[in-house]
Amino acid sequence: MKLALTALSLAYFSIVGLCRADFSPVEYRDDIILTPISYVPTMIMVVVTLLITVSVALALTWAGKSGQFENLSSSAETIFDEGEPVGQVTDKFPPHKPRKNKRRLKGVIV
Amino acid sequence: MSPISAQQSALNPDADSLTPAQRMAERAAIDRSCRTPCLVFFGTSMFWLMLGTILAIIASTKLHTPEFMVSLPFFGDVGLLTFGRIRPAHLNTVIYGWASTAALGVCVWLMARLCRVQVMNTWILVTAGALWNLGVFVGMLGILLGWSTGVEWLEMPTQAAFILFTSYALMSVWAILMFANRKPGHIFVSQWYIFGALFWFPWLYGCVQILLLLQPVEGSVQGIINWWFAHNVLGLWFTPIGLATAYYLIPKVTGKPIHSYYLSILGFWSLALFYSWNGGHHLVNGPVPAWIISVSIVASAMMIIPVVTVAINHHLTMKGSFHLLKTSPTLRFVVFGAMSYTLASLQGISMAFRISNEVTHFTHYTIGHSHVGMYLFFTMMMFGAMYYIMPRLVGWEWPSARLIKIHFWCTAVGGVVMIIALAGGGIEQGLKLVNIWLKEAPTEANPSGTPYSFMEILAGTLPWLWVRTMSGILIFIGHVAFGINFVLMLLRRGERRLTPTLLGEKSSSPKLEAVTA
Amino acid sequence: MNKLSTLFVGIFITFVSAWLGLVVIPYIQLGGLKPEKDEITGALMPPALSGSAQRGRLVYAANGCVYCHSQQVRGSARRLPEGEVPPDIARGWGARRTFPRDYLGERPHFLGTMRTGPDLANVGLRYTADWQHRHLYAPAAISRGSTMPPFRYLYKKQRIVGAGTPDALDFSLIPGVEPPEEGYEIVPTEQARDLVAYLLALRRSSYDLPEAAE
Ligand code: HEC
Repeated sequence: MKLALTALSLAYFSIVGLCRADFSPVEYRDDIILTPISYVPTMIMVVVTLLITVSVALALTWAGKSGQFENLSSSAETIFDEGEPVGQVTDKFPPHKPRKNKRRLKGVIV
Repeated sequence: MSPISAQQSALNPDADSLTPAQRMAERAAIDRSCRTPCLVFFGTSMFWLMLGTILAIIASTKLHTPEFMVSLPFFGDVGLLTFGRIRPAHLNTVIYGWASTAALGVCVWLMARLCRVQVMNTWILVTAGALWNLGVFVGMLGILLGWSTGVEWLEMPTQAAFILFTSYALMSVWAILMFANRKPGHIFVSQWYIFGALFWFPWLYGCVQILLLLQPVEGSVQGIINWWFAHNVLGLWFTPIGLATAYYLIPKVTGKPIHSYYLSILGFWSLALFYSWNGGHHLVNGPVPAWIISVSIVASAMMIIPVVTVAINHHLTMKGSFHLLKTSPTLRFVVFGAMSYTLASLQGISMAFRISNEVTHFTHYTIGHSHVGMYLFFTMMMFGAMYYIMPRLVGWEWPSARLIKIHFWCTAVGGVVMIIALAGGGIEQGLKLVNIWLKEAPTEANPSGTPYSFMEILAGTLPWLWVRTMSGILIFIGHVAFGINFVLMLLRRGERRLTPTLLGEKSSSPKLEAVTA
Repeated sequence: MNKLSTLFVGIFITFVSAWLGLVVIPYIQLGGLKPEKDEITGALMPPALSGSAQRGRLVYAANGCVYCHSQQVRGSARRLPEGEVPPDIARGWGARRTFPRDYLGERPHFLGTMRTGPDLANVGLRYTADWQHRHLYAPAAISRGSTMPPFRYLYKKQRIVGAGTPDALDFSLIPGVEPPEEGYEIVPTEQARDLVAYLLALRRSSYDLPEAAE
């Protein structure tokens, strides 16, 4: 389900995006530079967009089928282990020093 | 941990086979193995950070006080210090000298931790680090002496670029060796980003060196390729590493796994797909074919997907742990950076459309935007990472909590003020330049109104630029605080770390407990 | 997503797509662009730069003029009222917008990203060489309130020989700047002469391109 949604939204955005390229009034268009051959790349871009959309959809389908999306939460936990388990905060401001130390450091900067 | 036991645990990936103490020892050994290369990268990056900040203040001052440092005593007028050389020197120092060097250091450590092997072939890294710094030095000197190539973001003379490229190739070789030797198991999301960045950057850099400098193409095509590169340095080099850092450190510090691993996958692939297409929006309305700009605008708009997924993911991971911002220096910087990433990207998207771009392009607003990205996002992220990594490398606590706080508040406030100044000044300048903000509104007799003259617009930006210089000084104070803390730490002032992991752990350290209690 | 090879293929393909789109295709499209030939005079449009102006480009690059000056006259994305021209043209920065052909042969390009100073795409049509020298020497004296840095290091002081150098700076036209002592003059260095030759060659509105007719 999630997969299908992702693929669909990607396709939707690409197509809408390409049609409405700049989200600006159409009147603007007489300002666009059209060198004689500039339709060729535009066509190429359309084809490329479609190719990308299709390959993204295929890649996502493949990924879903081959189990790439399974056990995701365990992936997220690979950075934890018994030494630093989930739930352990691992960073903190350095403690304020006891008096004796402080005097020694005063000359430098504390 | 001895090599033999390391090998044993490599052969036996079963997670339950090690006791917590062994785990901690293993991690400490990995951290320690990063020590030499990371210190090389971090130490030198600190130097470039200081130099870059000074150059920034000089350049910024020159923008409102053009006679500032034009002549030197004894030397008279010299080209060395003209704005047009100081500014690119600043950019190259902070991009290649500070940010990239720090990024490489963070990469080394993240790679070692995530591949769960000790750093091997340290000599490759040290050589690469030395070469990298040599390259930046040669390049910066070249720019100041007037041998700049004149291409923005690539001003360093080709000789320097060659040194940098060699160094980078060494880094890549090392990274591949690390990947090949990693312990079996999942590849964590941070590793994808690092892997991508290490692959994308040399391609980008090599490609533009050839197309712009060695076998240069002409005119407009140069512009297109130039901005394809310059935007991708941010998008495919700094952003992935910044995000890799956030994806590792936010869960690690808060002790909570990433909220949704699924979102992180979506974020990564949409970033890879769309960011690389963004460069063309720097040439909106310019002398390039309209389709290039349109495609880039579309891709920029699509960036909403990776940005929002990352933002949601980090926010939901942080939820319930925001109180830790008070107690953890790393988290403060990293969360600040992550929030700025969202801001920078949304701002970038909003600037990409033709209508908004017409106003913000060619103004200080764009400069402000790049500082949101490079400073508030990336640099803060690197600060956060260094606060986490350094104690683990040298087995020594940061000497002074107060200096950390000074560092955070000066850079955060200074950064935000700078952004506001540049954005405000930029919008004013932009609206006036395109005759939307008029000096006299249209009347019957004067149907198009009276626009501001160029000199009036220029005068209007000056107060903003003054504020920007002030904010630069504040940022510099923050950096000095960081530098002092850094040096004191290397000089072994402050608290020794008593256990291999730690910081704030209810650990076996009676002394620490007594102190915190 | 735990196979390195899969990851690599994805990373490679996504990047290749953009590389093809933003590097290769524009190069194919624009790489073959040629200067237009004027049918009557046979002159090339855009004209080739003289040797001095070519060297001037390098001076322009080395001293970072591009960080404050753009060289492109833009159209406007807004719907402008009838009879109104895009703001760049209204400011007098050019009679028409610029096109890819205007930049043929430029290595490096100076399209620019910042307008701390005015656009220079057509600055050669606006000022004389003498004005340019005076302005480069003391911008704030020529344009009151200018924040352009003075480029005095591109000029040198020398003893006047005979009638003096023709392009020595005329201090009576530079208000508020001390002239050199009696018997001396300030003359442009070779670099300054090249730079000004380049600035004077920036006249993109002086010829018409077929694409401008649309
Ligand atoms: C700090 C930014 C800055 C730099 C660097 C800079 N300029 Fe300027 N320039 C300005 C400003 C601001 C003005 C407008 C005020 C004036 O006329 O002096 C200007 C104006 C000019 C003008 C007059 C344009 C006109 O239409 O009136 C020329 C020509 C010029 N600059 C050339 C150069 C050259 C050549 C260089 C490099 C050697 C250069 N500038 C570097 C800021 C800069």
